Amino acid sequence: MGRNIIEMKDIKKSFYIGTPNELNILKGIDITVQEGEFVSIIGTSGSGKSTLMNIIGALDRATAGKYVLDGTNIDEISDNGLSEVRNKQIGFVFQTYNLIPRSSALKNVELPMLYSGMGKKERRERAEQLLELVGMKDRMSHQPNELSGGQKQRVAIARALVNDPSIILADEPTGALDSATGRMVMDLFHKIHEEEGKTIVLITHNNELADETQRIITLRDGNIVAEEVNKKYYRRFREEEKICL
Amino acid sequence: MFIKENILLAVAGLRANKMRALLTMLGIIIGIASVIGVVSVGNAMTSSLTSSMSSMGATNITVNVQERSSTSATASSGTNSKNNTGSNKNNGTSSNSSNGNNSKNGQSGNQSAGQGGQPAGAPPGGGGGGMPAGGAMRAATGGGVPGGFGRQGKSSSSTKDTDLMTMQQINELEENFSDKISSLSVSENGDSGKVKNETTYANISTIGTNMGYKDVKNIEISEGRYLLQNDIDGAKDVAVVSDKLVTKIFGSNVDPINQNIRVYTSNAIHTYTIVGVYKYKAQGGNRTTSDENLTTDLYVPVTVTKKTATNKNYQTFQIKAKDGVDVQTFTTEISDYLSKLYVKNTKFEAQASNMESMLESMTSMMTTVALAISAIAGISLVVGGIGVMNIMLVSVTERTREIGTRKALGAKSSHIKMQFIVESIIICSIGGILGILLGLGAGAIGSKTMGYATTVSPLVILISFSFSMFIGVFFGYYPAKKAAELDPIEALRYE
Repeated sequence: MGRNIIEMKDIKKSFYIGTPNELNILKGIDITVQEGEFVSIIGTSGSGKSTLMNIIGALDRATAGKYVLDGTNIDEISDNGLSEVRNKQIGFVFQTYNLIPRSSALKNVELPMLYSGMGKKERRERAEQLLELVGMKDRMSHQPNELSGGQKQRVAIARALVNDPSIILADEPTGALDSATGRMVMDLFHKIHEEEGKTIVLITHNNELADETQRIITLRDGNIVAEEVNKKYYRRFREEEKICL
Repeated sequence: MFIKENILLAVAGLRANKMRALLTMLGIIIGIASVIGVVSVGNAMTSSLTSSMSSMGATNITVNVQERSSTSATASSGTNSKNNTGSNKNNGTSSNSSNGNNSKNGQSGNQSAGQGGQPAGAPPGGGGGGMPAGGAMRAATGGGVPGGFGRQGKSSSSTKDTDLMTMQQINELEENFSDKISSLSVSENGDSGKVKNETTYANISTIGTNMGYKDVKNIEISEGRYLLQNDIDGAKDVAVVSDKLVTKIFGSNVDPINQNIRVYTSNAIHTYTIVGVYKYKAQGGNRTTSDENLTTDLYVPVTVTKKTATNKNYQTFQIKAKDGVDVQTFTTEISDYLSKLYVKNTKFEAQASNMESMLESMTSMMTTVALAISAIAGISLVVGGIGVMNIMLVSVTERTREIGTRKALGAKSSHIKMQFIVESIIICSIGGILGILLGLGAGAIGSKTMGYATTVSPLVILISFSFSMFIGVFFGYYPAKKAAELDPIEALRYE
C-alpha cells in the first residue's frame, strides 16, 4: 500500500463546439488513488463522470493537466502507446458487458492476452484460472448469447483481470442487472479487492453501491465537490472480520 | 498468430450469416467461374482445332481463283461468289477423308447457307449428283455440303473456264517453284453414290485426284498402290478405296486388289478396278457415325471426273511445301506469281493462302473472344468486389461496439485493420474457390458437349485464386481502415 496508481493534477477537458462556445466538461480534477484502494466516483448524468472515466481508462486524452498512471505519463504517449496502456494496465468492466459475440467465454477472456502477444498455452491456462476465480469455469465454452447477464458480467470481470492490470475500471457494472445478480457482482468485486488486492475504481450514480467502497469521490458539473473516506466500508469490513473470526 | 485467430473469427462470422455471405460472394463466384469456364473451353477448342488442323497439313498452301472483290457487279452477286469460293475451298481441298476441318469449314458453310443460301443451294446444275445417304449424312455433320454439291454448277454461273487455271498453267507453276514444292494436288469432285454387291452397299463420294493428292492429304496406303501418272494420263477407270469399304463389300478374306466395283450414282453406273486400299481416318471433331452409313472417299484419276465436270480447268489446287521452306514467304511468292498470271483478268484473281495463317487468325480470334469474355467477367468481379466492400462496411457498422470493446481491451488500429482485411480476404477466397469449382465443372461440361477433351490450366486457377484474394484486399481495405480509425469512446457508446 501507499504507492500511487492514479495521479491526476488539474485535469481539464473541453470540447469546442465552435468558438466562442467552449464546452468545459471537466474543470480541473485532482485525484489520487493508491494501490489496493476501492474507490467510487459518483455523480449525476452530466457531471462529467463518463468523460473522467474515459480519461482514466486511457481512451481519451485530457485537454490540460497531468495524468500519471502507475508511473506512466499518459499525456505524452502515442495512440499505440495508449492501446498498450489499456491492454496491460487497465481492466474495463462495462455496464453492458461488451463481450465479443460469437466467441466463447474462454476466447473472450483470452482476448486481451492475444493483443499483448502471449503464447497460446499460457493464454489458455490463465484464462481458465480466472474463469475459475469468477466461478464460470464450467461455462467457459459457452458463447455470450448462452449466458445470463450476471454470468456475462462475471466473464467480463475475468477478462478485465487477465493481464493483471494496475486498476480495474468498472463503469456501472450492476446497472443492467437485477438487485440479486448485482449483489453477486459487487461481492465478486469485493472478493478481488480483498483477496487479490486489486485497485478498483467504480463509476456509478448509485449511492448505495458507492457506500460499499472505501472512498467516495463526488463529481458535479465538472468539479469534485466531495471526497470522503467511507466509514461504512470499514464498518462492514470489520463486521465481516468478526463473522470470520 | 493473429492471422489464425482472425481467420477463425472471420469464419465464425460468416457461419453466423451464411445467406448473406453467399450472396456477397455471388459476384466473385460468377466472375471467377466464367473466367475459368471460358478459358478451359477455349483451351480445349484451340488444342483440338490445332491438332486436327495440323493433322491435315497446316503447312499446305491452297490456291484459289476467285472474283476480284472490287469488280463485283452487285452486292448480291458479290456475296454469292464469295460463298462459292468458300465452298469451293471446302470441297476442292478437303471434301472428304480430310474432313478434320469440318468443324472449321462447317462454319463458313453454315454461313453461306445462311446468307446466300438460296442462290448457293439451288444452282443450275448443282446438286444434280443427287442427295444420297452419304450426302445427307455430311449435310448433318458438315453443314457446308449444299454448296459443295452445287460447286461446279455454281462456279459456272459466275466463273468461265477461261478464268480458271489450266493444267498447263499449274504445271508451269510447279516447274517454276520445283525447288520448293514437295507435291501439288489437284482434284475434282465426282458424284456421290453407293458401291453395291449382292447383299450390301457402302456409301462413297468420288474424288478425282492426281498423284500429289496422296502426299498433300497424308493418305496412307495399306494395300496396293496409289494412282500413278499413267492412270491419270490415260484416264483409267481405277480407284483407291478405303479399308472400311473393303471390309464391308468384300469381307476380310478377299484380296480387294484388281477387284471391280460398281458405283451407282443417281444417273449413272461406273465400274472401277481397285488398285489400292487406304487407311480410313476418322473425321475430326470426335463425331462418330456408325460404320453402316459411313461415307468414304473413292479416289479415281482426276481426268476421269473431269470428263463429266462443267469446268475443264481448275479453280483450286493445293501445294505441299518441301521441308524447311518458310510457308508464309512461299505463299507470298506464289501469290505474286499468280497475280502476274491474272494481271489481265479484270474479273478474277488467283490467291494463295495457307492453313498456318488461318490457324493463326483462328487462334487470335479465340484469344480475342476469351479476352472479351474475361473482360466481362472482370466487370463481374469488380461488381462482386463492390458487393464485398458494401457488406464489409455493413459489418463494420454492425460491429462498432465490438470494435470499441477490442480497442478498450488494447487492440491497436493495426489489429483491427488486419481483422477486417482478413475477413474480406476470407469472403473473397471462399468465393474464389467456389467459383473455380463451378468454372471447372462448367468448363468440363461445355468441352464435353462440344466434343473436346477438357483441359485444365493450373496457372489460370492460381491466377484466379490470387485475383480473388487481391479483390479481398482491395475492396476490404477501405472498410478495414474505417474500422481501425473509429474512436473507441464513440464506438463503445454506439447503439
